[in-house]
Amino acid sequence: MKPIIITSKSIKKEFYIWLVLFVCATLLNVYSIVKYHTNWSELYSQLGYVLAISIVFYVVIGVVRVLMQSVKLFKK
Amino acid sequence: MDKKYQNRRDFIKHLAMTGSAVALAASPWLGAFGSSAQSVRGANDMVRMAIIGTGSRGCELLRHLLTFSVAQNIRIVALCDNYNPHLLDAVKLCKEKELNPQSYADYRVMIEKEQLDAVIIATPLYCHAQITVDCLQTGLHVFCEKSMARTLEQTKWMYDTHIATNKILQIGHQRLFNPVYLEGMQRIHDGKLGTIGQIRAYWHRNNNWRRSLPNNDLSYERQINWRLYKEYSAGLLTELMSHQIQVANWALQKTPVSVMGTGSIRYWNDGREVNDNIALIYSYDDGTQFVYDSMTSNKKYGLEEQILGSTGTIEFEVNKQYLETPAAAPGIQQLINDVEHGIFDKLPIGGASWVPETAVNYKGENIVDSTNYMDTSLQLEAFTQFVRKGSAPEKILKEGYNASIWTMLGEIAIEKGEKLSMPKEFII
Ligand SMILES: NC(=O)c1ccc[n+]([C@@H]2O[C@H](COP(=O)([O-])OP(=O)(O)OC[C@H]3O[C@@H](n4cnc5c(N)ncnc54)[C@H](O)[C@@H]3O)[C@@H](O)[C@H]2O)c1
Repeated sequence: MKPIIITSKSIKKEFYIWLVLFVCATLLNVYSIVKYHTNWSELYSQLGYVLAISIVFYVVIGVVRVLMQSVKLFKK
Repeated sequence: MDKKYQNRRDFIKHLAMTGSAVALAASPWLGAFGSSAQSVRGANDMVRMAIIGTGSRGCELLRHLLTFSVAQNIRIVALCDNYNPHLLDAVKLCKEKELNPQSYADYRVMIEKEQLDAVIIATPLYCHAQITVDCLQTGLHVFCEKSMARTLEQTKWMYDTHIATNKILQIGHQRLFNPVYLEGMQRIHDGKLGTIGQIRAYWHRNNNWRRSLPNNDLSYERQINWRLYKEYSAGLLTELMSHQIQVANWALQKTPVSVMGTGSIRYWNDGREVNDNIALIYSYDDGTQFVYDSMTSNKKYGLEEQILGSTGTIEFEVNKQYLETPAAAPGIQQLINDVEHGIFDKLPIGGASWVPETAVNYKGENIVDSTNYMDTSLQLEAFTQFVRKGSAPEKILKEGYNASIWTMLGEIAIEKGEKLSMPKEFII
């Protein structure tokens, strides 16, 4: 079996993807604070939720990326 | 007694730490409870006590006393019961703690012979008055279990004797010393629940209440099962409701103006005389009602006192406060909730013209963090402090007095099928 090599470059790439998603989740938090007129302290008090949402986003995006990779491989 | 005991000192420390010291200052009896200043006796002088009536409650009170008697320098000098097996139970409890109090079958002999400061009375209801009056007149301070007395006249007789002798008379309404109630009452009195429209309370059990007789000897029936006979007890009213009408009066800081009620023996048709189900409505001068029911053939709803205000509700027995408009959930959680509803909820074709108004499904907040206090111990500790001081705040006795008077009036209202108010001669 071919060994799977995880390079530091690929780790960095994944980290940046997650970071972007974390920023998106934070923006969603800002949006909901404005929409529901709740307290700005939720920017940090709801960090746990934001983190969880960013992970959900990352998993969803991950599934999409795997699907795209599979289609590419299949076309080859 | 399975809770880790937290005593008066822990309690007062806790009140101070949680900012509830206001509650301490606002409750006259707690203020007195907290300080040992101006004592007639030294703060640590020995208090010599006896227990009259060592049945189930008497032994329970003894167990509580024994948890702090050494620390509080209380000496249990004598025990009295006219039913020997119960007397022996109490003697055994003392022996386990290497104590050796004198035993008596007649309290009159005991109070004459022994050098006592105070007595604790836990006999059946019908003899509370006679024993209390005899003890007060002998110069003893008295802690008497609830309900205060069997009749209106006896209740007043006890109160008048307390006034005449200037000796302490404290009635065993332990909720007066319960931190959940103290904190909750403070909130109610501060207006945090808005206008109280109604207080609902109930106590539901599914048990017989009948105790088995030694060797099935029927000659013991009325002595052991005194609760079931009108000569000795008003049944559910004096045994259970008296606690809850006291809570209602305390919450509203007033006494009712009228009572009406009904009751029957619906299930336990076994020769008992007291009702096994009752329902009463007490009205107050501002229009508030105290709506009460109790039964012994269904226990689903257990017991509760619900204080229903325009901006909130308190349920004391479960240590909960509920706001009418609870604080909104954080924005992000509302957003997720809305998205979920948008995806999963079915869209109605036409708007609902009628929505069932079932109970609000909201868990509420705890009134106090720790419920590790035993109110029965706290009230006995307070009694000891009061004995050292030589006096107790009148408010405590008035709570017991009014609870007893309105419990008795409830019984008469049920029997007569009439709406009753307080006869003038019983107003104190
Ligand atoms: N505060 C509470 O939560 C609470 C709980 C339970 C009972 N109680 C009250 O405590 C009292 C006793 O109830 P209980 O369940 O222990 O009843 P019980 O029948 O178990 O005990 C009463 C005892 O008093 C004794 N007695 C009767 N007449 C006497 C007399 N003249 N002199 C000495 N002893 C006498 C009886 O022999 C019996 O042992 C009642 O008033 C009841 O309402 C209060």
